[in-house]
Amino acid sequence: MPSLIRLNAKQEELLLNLYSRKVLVKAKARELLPEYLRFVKGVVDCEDIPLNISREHYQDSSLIVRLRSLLTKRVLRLLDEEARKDPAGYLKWYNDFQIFLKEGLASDPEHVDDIMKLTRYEGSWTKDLVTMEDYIKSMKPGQNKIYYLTAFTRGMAEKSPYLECFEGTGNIDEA
Amino acid sequence: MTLINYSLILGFPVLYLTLHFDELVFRGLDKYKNYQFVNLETNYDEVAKDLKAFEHDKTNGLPEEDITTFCLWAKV
Repeated sequence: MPSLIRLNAKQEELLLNLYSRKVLVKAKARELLPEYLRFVKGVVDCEDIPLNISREHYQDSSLIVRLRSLLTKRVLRLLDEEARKDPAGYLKWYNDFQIFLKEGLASDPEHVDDIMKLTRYEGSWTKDLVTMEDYIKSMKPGQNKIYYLTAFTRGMAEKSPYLECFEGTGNIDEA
Repeated sequence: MTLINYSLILGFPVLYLTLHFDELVFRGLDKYKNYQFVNLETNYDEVAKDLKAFEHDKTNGLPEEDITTFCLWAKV
């Protein structure tokens, strides 16, 4: 996993080269991954792609569509495995790259569930960052909505007057 | 002095979104696994209505006349 944030995230170019039996078919194959995974660099060697594939066939090929879907799932699964194996390391990476994942949530409805496993949020019931699954597990019986509050920092969110609606009087002092 | 958050007392978890982009994403998604995203700031009425349904049952408390009698006794 890359460890440094790219400052020009918008212009970042997908550097994924497509090979067939170790022969380069296409350099910078943008079609192989969705835009929000543009931080991924590497090579894809697919034996099913004919070496003499035409540009027209390449663009319309159902094989490319399947390859794209497969690669997207693989990358997201790899990130999920990393998050389970090394949570601290993943959080460090996440702090730099979360914007890409959130772009994915907004632009890739097909993989929302997979991407949601990778995102982390501040939660009112714990000091640690939590996943959406953690939120659902901590929901009150009968609760069918996910409540959220926007603020610049966790501290500002905790002092928000909008939390007062939970009791009508808001925070209380425990002297 | 320690501040106690009522959302914790009532057991309602709240997500704090510190990136405003998150809110755009939640608005775009609208739901996740059939759970609707609700912003406390912009849906105050809806949230208040939801919370009312979870309010503690006040019928188990002392009747008002007993409290009044007690207060009058305490004043004397």
